[in-house]
Amino acid sequence: MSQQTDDRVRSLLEAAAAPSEAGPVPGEQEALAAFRATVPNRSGRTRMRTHLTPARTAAATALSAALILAGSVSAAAAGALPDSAQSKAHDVLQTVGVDVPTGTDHGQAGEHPDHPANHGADVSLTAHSTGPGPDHGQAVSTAARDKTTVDDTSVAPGDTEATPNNRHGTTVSELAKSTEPGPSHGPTVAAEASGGKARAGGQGTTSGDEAHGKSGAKHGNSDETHPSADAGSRSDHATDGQTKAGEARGDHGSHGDTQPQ
Amino acid sequence: MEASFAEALAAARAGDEDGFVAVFRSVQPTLLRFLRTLGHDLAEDAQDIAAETWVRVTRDLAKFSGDEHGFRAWVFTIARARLVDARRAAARRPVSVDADAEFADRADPVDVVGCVEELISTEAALATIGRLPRDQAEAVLLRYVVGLDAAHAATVTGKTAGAVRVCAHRGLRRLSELVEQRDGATGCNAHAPADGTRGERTGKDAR
Repeated sequence: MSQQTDDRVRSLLEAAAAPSEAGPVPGEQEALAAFRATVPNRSGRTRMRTHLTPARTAAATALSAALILAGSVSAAAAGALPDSAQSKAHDVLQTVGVDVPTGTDHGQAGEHPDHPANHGADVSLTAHSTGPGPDHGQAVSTAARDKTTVDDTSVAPGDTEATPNNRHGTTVSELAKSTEPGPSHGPTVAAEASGGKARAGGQGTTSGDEAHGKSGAKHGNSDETHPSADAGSRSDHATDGQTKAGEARGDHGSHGDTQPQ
Repeated sequence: MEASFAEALAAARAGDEDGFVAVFRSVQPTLLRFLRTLGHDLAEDAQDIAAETWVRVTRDLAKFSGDEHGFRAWVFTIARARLVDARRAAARRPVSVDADAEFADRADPVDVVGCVEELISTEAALATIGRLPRDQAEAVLLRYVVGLDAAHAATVTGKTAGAVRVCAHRGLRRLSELVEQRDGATGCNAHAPADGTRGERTGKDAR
């Protein structure tokens, strides 16, 4: 092998190993795709970048928490939370000096069978469902007394006129019990119950109205503890279907014996 | 150069695309030359084989440990295995050598300058190497084109380092004979092998 041949072989090998042209080489995109598919989470180009710094993240979290807390307290103050949540909010916020309604303070009349607002309706139902007779007044009176479960502290402001003092109903009740049955029974009790504003009509039937007058007195007794029933409710248990109450203050104890002026 | 490749390799192993691209651009050209030279009868599949190779490389890249020569040896081992698989499909099918057709279409034989320039071009040089017996061509490519030492080339071929050296030596001697034949000829188209087979290779040449 001559030196010239060696040089030619060397040149041939150098040419075979010559550097390729700069730039992308065939198959680069395919290989890169395979690389990305293999290591998608570690790839710098495919990694999602965020502009949130740790400080910004903390601030955003704190702001979100503050908004949620403020909204919750507002809802609790408005009594808009469910009963259980409202009760818990009441307990928790009370420890920090914030007074919010309890879970049962905001119930609507009719939602609960023992709700004071339903008292009048219950007594009225009893008065309507019980036929005229000797036991009618007693039944209505019993219903009025049994369903009285709320203490006097819950009396609505509007009720203070009907019960200027808590003894008014008791007085009317005692009068109804002590007055002998007769044509004058109803007017007497009605006059007491209405403070003299109601006038006895005298058209009531003798036997039935005696009991009615008595029940009306019992009814007056129940007003001592009558909570926050509205005028309509009180009117309901004051009228048993046979009597019409003309005045708000005259409806107590005016069953059957009182007619509006 | 070594340091930059090592850094790129480390970055690629960590999932950095730029590092992977740097490694790819350093290896892919010689990989394609290797595949096209040894699989010139399968020239159309050279890029497909390379793509399959890189899929395997990317899959196991994180588990690789070694230096530049180790990495290149690993890549070429995978590529050679894929090449063998592709060749098995056409093991017994005689194929023509593209380089022979290229040589047959050369310009005027008296254009010596043009012949020399073409001879030393990369493609022409690879075509000449491709005319060697397969084991010799493989050893010459791995040792002088890819740049592996005998030990790493042996890893790729599955032979001993001594066997690789012997094959490489025989390959160089064969290349010299081809060059002398060319120099002794009156024209540039005198590149036919000494055995007069014109480079035709059959499946039985495959390992």
